[in-house]
Amino acid sequence: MEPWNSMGMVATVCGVVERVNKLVYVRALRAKYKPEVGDIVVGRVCEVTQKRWRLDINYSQDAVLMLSSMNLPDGIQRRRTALDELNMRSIFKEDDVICAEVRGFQHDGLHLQARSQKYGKLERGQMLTVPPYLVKRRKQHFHHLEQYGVDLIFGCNGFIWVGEHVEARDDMVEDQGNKPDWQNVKSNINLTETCLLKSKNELTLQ
Amino acid sequence: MVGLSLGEKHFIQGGIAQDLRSDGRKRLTYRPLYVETGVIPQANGSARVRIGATEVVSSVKAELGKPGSLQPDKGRVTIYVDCSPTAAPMFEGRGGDELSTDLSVALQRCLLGGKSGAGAGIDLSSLIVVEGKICWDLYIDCLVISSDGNLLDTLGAAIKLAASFLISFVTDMRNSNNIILILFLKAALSNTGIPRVHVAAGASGDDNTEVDISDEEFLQFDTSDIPVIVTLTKIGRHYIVDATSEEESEMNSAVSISVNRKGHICGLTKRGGAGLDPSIILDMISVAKHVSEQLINKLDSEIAAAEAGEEES
Repeated sequence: MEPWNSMGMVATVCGVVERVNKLVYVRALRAKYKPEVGDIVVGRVCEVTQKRWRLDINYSQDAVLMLSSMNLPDGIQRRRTALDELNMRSIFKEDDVICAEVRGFQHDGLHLQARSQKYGKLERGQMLTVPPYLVKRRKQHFHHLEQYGVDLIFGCNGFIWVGEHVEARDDMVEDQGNKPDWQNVKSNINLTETCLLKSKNELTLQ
Repeated sequence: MVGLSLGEKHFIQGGIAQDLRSDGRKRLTYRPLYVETGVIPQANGSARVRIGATEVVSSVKAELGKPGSLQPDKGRVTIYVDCSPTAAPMFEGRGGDELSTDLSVALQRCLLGGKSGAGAGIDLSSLIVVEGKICWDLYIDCLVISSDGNLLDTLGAAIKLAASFLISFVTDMRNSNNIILILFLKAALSNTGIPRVHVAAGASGDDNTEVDISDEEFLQFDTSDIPVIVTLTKIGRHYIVDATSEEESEMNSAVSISVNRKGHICGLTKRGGAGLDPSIILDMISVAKHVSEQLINKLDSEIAAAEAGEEES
């Protein structure tokens, strides 16, 4: 903020003025994505390194998902061994799409965690990119369109996942059969996705 | 280009098998086409075409030159494509050179026909001024600004539009002698065209020819025969038209076919490592003919709209 012609303070960004006690700041309308603790994000794996995966989440740096912040496929809580480290690629490979939650900023960057059943690898669907300021922070970012059998995950970073509905299932139970009709679901996914893209275009024009 | 996970790849392939693409299009539907002509005032003709997120600018410049000794009755056309680094980070420095050469060669094959000049989409014999001595050299330059798949089709459309705003000339041979005066005047129209050339009478012929280029008289360069290029990308067992860069990353092979208004094939280019059964290629050709009609109609209506706009201004 700088003084200008004795008209008072003028901000360098356009936005909404917010006040907290004596702090006055301007929250910009069209900003880059700024992660906060507890944000649900959808990211793509760009690298598999020692004990961690690096994900691209539309932020200035890549986010880190530690092996210890992931539930192992067998479900048991145990110390990660060297063998687990070698088998990391069998859990997530490069270019996989993953849903996770922001854990916080650590010394080496932004950390994510995916401990719950609703997080993890996203298959059978499609990822869309919209400008991040269009996704507002709400209570619910996971939506299930029952009529179409489609799962919607609105990542706060602007990545939206539209995919087949996956029941949150317990890993210990045997594989449940009964796959839904993939063809119908697929056309529904495309329908949802076209609607999202259209609304994104309309919103970004304003 | 961002990679795709296995699930996303299956999603794209499965969708195409069901005639349902990622953005809701059918297999044989083009993305919306936006056209702007006369974007480069210094060139004789120029156009900017955007199909979806792929954007291309092309310009046509004409200069007088000497025809080649092997083809004294034909003018010359050179096509050059440049991939700008703004289109993709990998085009920086020399990274885009290979793709640029591929595209230039493919365009030459589709638009210019064989070595003898036969079968060309652009009629080279209309470019001659004095047979054996003077001809028009057309330099067609294209710049890829943004790349999201289907570059060849966009380039073909841009060249067709740029050329249709290139107003040509006719030589007026008053006398068989060859001395001509050069008078160069700036055109009044916003789309500068190649002016009319008068070959004036004069003293006994020597090799110094001068050209009288007037600016009031222009004649239409017949561009209705310039073909458009339709690229069919084969993914799995089906073909799609106008692939995005994600779909192109999944392709087995792609065939680019240039078709003119009469439905004749002017050129054929195949890319990609997978082999194709000949019956599939014949099928692709008939599909391309069908699809090219809509594309040609769309381009013609754009040309007509732009010409109407010019007459008003």
